[in-house]
Amino acid sequence: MNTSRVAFDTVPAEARAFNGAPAGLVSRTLANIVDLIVVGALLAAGYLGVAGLLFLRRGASFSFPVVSYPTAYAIGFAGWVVYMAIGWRTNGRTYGDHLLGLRVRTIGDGPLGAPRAVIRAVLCAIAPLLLIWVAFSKQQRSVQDLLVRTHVIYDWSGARSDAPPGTPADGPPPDAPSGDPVRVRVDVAPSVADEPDDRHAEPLPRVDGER
Amino acid sequence: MMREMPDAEPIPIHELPSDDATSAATGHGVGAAERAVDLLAGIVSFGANMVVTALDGEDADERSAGLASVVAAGAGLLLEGLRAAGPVLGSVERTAGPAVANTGAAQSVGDLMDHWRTTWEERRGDDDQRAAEEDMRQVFQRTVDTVLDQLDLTSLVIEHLDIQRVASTLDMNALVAGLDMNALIANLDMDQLTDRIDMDRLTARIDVQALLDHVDMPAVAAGVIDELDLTQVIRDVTVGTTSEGVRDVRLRAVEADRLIRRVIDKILSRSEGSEG
Repeated sequence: MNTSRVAFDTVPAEARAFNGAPAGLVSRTLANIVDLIVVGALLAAGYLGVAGLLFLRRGASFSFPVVSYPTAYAIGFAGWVVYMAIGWRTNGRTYGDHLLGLRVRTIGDGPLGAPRAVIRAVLCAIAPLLLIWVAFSKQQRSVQDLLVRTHVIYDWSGARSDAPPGTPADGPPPDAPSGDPVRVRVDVAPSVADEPDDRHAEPLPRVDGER
Repeated sequence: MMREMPDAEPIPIHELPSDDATSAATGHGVGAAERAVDLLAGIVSFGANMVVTALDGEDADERSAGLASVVAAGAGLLLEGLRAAGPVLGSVERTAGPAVANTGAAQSVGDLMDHWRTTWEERRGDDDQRAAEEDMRQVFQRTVDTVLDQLDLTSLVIEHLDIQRVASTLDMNALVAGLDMNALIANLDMDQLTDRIDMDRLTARIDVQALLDHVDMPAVAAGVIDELDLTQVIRDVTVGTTSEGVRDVRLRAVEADRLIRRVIDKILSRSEGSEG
């Protein structure tokens, strides 16, 4: 029996033309905005959780804890760094990246290690506006990318971070060694957003005696 | 006072042998020396003619003409000397001939000259024979061509050749073994060939169930499942599945990325899509 492995390419047909290409400014900005919202929500949830614990402990004398601006900034900074570092280290993408179909990889198309992910997260947290350099970079890399030798690509596949990067539109190179897995493309249909619209369906035939 | 002189005693004169007699004695009509002189004179005359002709060619100038005259004069003098020496050498040969003949040298020279003449004549005879053979070959070729033109070989073969009998003597296996089947197949138009095949009839004759009975389907399925990382496949497909709204947002973001890229490229006068 043929021992070659079979790999499934789950990139949708409409994304195969650019899958694996460097991502642009708009996609990355939107991803960062989503991440900001997520981190804000997490911090808010954390704040509410702490408040809930305090309420259980203090009872009637409970009042919402007041957090000073420096403390809030420090906690937000730390939460932002931890959130992004964990996302890039584990899966190469944060939730915002996932929604926008992006993935962070090293220049050599490998997954990010922990130190590189942490440094990149710190740099992004310190100076997020340096992302604007993506628009002027020929390789569409931000200043943080240049410093830690990473790049962000479109990756609409559901593969893990340590899997090979997104397959280009034309599939695997023709001179790929025979030991490479056989790639099979799967056209993933979008999930059904709503129930089928039956407003214009033909009415059921009436049964005798039915009003 | 006169004294009577005695009668003079006649001097005995031996009759000298004539040229014919000498020739007969030596066995040669003309002396070898005279023939050698004639040969030498011929060579000198031929060489002088060639030199004079070359010097009097189309590009002959005054100096060449003078040189040709000198060569011609020298050759004439040499020829005259040889002609004069011919009889002298002939006399010497006739005089010393018998003595020399006894040694065998003259005989050898004569034989050598005769051999040369015989060889020359034989060679000329061979050339004549070859020319005659060539003429005969050409005549024969023309004759055969004319005869073949008059014959209809195709009808002749069809009427008189028993193809079946010839074919029965052929070793078809050896014939097929000598064929380059790959080259033969390469010349086939497979599309045209497959168009002529009635696939419906062909598949109708295949007993698929009997074929499947011979296949160990559980083993095949187990092998396929072993090769597939189904868990990973399901995970990838699940994660990669996004809602229509998310896809729309992604596509619009990609279009916006491209638009910004084009605008920036235009502002910076960069060629679109250049790397660096």
